[in-house]
Amino acid sequence: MLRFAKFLKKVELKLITYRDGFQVSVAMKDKFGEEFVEKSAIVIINPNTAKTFGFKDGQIVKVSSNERCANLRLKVSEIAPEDCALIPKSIYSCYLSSDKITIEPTDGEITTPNELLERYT
Amino acid sequence: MWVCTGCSCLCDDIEIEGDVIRHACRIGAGLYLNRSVARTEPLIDGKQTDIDSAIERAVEILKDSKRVAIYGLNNSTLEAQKIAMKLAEKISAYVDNGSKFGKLAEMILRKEIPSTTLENVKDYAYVIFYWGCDIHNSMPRHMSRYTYYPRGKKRQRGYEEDRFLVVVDVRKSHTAMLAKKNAIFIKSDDDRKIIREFLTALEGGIASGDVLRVVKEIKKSDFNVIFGGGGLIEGLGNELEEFVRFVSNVGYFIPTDYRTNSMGFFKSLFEAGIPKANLEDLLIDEAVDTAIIVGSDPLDSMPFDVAKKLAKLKLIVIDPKVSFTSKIADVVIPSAISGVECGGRMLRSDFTEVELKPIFKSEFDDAKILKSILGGL
Amino acid sequence: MPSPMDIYKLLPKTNCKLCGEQTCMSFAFKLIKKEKKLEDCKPLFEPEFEEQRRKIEEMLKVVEKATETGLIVNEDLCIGCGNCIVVCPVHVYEDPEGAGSGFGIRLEKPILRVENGIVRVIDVSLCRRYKEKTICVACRENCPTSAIAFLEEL
Repeated sequence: MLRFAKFLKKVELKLITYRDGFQVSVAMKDKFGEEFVEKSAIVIINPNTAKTFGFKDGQIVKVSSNERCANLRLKVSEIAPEDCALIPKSIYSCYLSSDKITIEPTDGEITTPNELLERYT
Repeated sequence: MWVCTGCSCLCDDIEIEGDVIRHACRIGAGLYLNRSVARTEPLIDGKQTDIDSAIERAVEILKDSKRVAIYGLNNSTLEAQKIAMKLAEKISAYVDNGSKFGKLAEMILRKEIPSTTLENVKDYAYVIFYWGCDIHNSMPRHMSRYTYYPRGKKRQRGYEEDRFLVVVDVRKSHTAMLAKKNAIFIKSDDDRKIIREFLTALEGGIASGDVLRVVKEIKKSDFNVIFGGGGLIEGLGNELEEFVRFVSNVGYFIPTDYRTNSMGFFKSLFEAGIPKANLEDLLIDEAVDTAIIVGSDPLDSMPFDVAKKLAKLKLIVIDPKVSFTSKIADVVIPSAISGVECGGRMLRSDFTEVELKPIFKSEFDDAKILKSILGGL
Repeated sequence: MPSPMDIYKLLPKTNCKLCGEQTCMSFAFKLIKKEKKLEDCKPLFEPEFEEQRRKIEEMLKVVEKATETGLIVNEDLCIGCGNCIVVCPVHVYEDPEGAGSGFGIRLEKPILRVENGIVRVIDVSLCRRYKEKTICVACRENCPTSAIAFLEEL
């Protein structure tokens, strides 16, 4: 099977975690709800970086750091500098905590908080 | 009027009429409107129980523990924090709230660094720095309620003429996007270097164009203020001497720790004479075997390597809401949402004391639960 | 908020001029500014364009929300910071002790008010754009999340 995703490049970026007010508000509501995943399981890269490496806003990507990885939704925005990736502060950013992360396309589903939680115990 | 406990702004101008809450931001309104969603229930080893049995089990665990850490307390009132300090003294527990603002907060309490109130900032401040904090996201009403946008006694002409905004950050945050007219955004890769540059320029030396421009504005007023966030704390590391000199030359410093009663925590700790511990370090050193987590979710804020060690401890979670940490805890004790379901006092980010105005009543809150635990020991 | 280009991509792109415009692109522009109605594009109502038409209708729902002053609030993007309320020159003049001083607005019927954490348009008749036809953009300028937009700037 020809999978287009395979032809795209990986990109390594500096990780910055940041506080997102919208994420904070849904985290205060319910950390096991859909909104929490929607606002937390995201990684933001700069529009120029997205263009260079062929990433599209909204696609699911595999984000790896050290020996850990999780699938997040990619967003494109100027709030991220060109050499950095932004992940809002949450269990996702904590799980992937590192100075650098790698982003690559994937066909997988977004990792759920329960899946992450299992890896802690 | 309700006092919002969504962040350390502790906005006291909120109106509630039935299901409509006015003037609170998305974070504060959500705290109130979603109060009944995802509430905890008393649990022992994941099994349902009643609250008294949960407290009893917590006491048993504490009696069997070698070394305990008390963590969180940022959403607890000063009254509850005081009881937590007594508990810490009784069982020689370490105490940490997970905030990195401890050193600077203590310096403010000791009057080693000039600080002021947000009311004074509104009335008098000209140059307003936001350094290493995206205030628009962490404390959304900070700028409109207290600093850049409102008019004050000596600042009647509005933000475009009577204020000068400086945003220093590693990235173009939402706050940085607000630096337009009579404002500047300085992208920083090395905070200490920029502070040194400011010090040089303030003493008449050579600096970059941006820094010189800001220094020119600083010299126009004798009331300027620096708001510093987590980014600045990280950038400074342990080297605070130059920063203190910088603040003294510019005006005042106010921390922007969004954690609701974090400054109250530091004051409670200071008054009790207990040194602040760092739970992450204790976990790495494997120095504790039990943790009491009060109104905090370390699995949602600590790096994986450390959090994994935390997960191995005996965990007692006191929280009104279900959290990642409560899911793996040995004991869960449901509590009240401070300010919504229980009253008391808290300190705003500038150390101003605020009396909470709860709308509902609750049988149990952090203070009562901690008192019962203390009584049981 | 849809751009004229987003709309144009879904139009028949034949420049048939049946709507009275020279090109489909200029029709797209006028559609967003509410100067033309979707019904003016006759070919779009043919069965073959049904799916595209539905998509345009979906996009135009946002435009429909625009008030008489052209002010559009995208509630999903609003964090409720209140910058727009405090900077509004009318609010400052009418409510100096309240909104002008940073507090929640005290007017019974202000232009904007934060309710349930999101800014809501209460009464645009006070807005300078409505009464004096002044092109004031203070509220939009101080919203970093683009929750506020004006039709003419799209």
